[in-house]
Amino acid sequence: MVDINALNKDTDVLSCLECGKCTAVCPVSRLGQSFSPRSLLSNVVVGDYDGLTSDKRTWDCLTCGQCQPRCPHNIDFSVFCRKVRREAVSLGNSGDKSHDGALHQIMQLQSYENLKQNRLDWIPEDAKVITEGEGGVLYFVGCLPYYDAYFDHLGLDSVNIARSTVKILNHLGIEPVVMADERCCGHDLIWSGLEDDFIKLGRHNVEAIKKTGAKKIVFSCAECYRTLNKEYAEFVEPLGIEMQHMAQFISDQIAEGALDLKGHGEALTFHDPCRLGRQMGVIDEPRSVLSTIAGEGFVEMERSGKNGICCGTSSWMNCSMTSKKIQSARLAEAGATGAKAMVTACPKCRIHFECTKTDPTLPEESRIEIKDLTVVAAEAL
Amino acid sequence: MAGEKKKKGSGNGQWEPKILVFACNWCSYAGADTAGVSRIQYSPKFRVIRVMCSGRVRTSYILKAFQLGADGVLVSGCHIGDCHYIFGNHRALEMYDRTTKTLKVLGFEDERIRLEWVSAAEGPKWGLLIDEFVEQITKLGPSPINLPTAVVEEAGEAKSAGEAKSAGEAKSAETAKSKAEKKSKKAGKSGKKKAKV
Repeated sequence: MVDINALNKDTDVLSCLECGKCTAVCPVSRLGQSFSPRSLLSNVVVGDYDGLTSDKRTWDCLTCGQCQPRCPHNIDFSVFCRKVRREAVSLGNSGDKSHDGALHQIMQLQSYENLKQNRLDWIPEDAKVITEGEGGVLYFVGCLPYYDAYFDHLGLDSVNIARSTVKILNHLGIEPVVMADERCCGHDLIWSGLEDDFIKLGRHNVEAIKKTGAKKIVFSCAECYRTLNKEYAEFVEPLGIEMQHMAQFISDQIAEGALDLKGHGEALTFHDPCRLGRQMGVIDEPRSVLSTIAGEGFVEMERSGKNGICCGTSSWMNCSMTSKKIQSARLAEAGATGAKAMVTACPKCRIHFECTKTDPTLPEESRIEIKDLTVVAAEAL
Repeated sequence: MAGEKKKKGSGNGQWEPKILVFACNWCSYAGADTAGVSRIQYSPKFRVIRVMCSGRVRTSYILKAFQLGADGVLVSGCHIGDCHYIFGNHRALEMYDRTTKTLKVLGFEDERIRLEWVSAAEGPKWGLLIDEFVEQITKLGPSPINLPTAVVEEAGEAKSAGEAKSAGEAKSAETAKSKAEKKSKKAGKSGKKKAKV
């Protein structure tokens, strides 16, 4: 059973006023699924929380965090769901995993110490990268090689994000460390209630990162960036190393005059990943990078920045018709701006949108190109 | 199962691979039956899961098998064109492609999984296939990950798992190859003993 007092201490759920603002802004509720953060919390408030761990609705939340800033009591509904999910998993209710849980298994398999991964095959011959030993800047690649292997049919070339990151770093004269024994950051595991496996991955990564002696970590993935910043500090140990998403890094380098990106003036728009924009507050940086490249051609979508909509699926959980509706609506929004490409800063947002684009009923104007910010920046070098 | 009984019976402290076989109901499982009815002698060191179609086997099933301590996984279905559900084995091909690529990044050897087509009439082929696969996995040694203790206890085989674990550690050392060879020779001998289906 859920320890409601502990939950309340962390997330302040019992102060819910049942105003319903959360449900009003929730992308899942809006598109027709019978999901309502308000009704879920109102059950909790009146003491009816015994069924919470077997309630399918706690798994429907995208943990995008749209509701929290609107809540008069600042209730962190995403973290509430995360904690309930953890309890649920310990009781044997693990929610519906997309792809039959294959992606979770990839992450769980990475928590075994003996594993010797082949995760560096993407490194091009001309790239200057330290794969063994110490260095000042560490590039945390994340699960990109796995996505390319598993989603081969989507033709993603996700590792191009990694290649572009290294290209930009090399261009600035930085030789980044890339760990051969890097493991998944564990983001999806912690958000789907698998805390023990997350901690195993976290411990491994923290130790490996310390061994490199890095003074700074750069990320090309919004989720890795959030997880190493926030969840590692909470569940593993604070790293105490400067961390930057590539959006911040590139924007800083442009501001310092170290990096000169060539503009092409083609219209671009930006999709804010929840983890980067709303949750880590990195909103202006990607825009300044894109404004440098696209100039006047940079256009905003209706829902952007702090109000940016989620890409529809999180942690490889509960991909449903609602997810597809959210994604098609977002693609239509991006298409309506007239931009040539929708840029994002999270490899997973890109995968989800590319998957939606395989739907033959999607209108032609919604079939906008999806690009990663790092790739766009590397192309403009 | 025949394989398990054999193992407990042999009990000479030697590492034996854990091999999982997914066989489709219409061809391969019937093929295994044919092998049994024809009294074909082949290795008992595998465990079969019958699925309705090879197309039902997902990447996650194979990954889960490895997570639970399998050393090798074989998927077997009807020949292309013979699928009971018309295109199920085409799905299996797609799945297999995705799985090999994923396992490669995870650092598993390519030979740890295999996809084969065995029809209901191909009893001898089934026997040869199993013998070949058992030998292949025995040569490779334990899978790159340790066996999770919880699963081992569940199966009541804590002892053999402990050995597999130490074998796993030894594998990383230089001597791994020669050891594996020794093992495969031994296993080859015992493997040629009678098999019950």
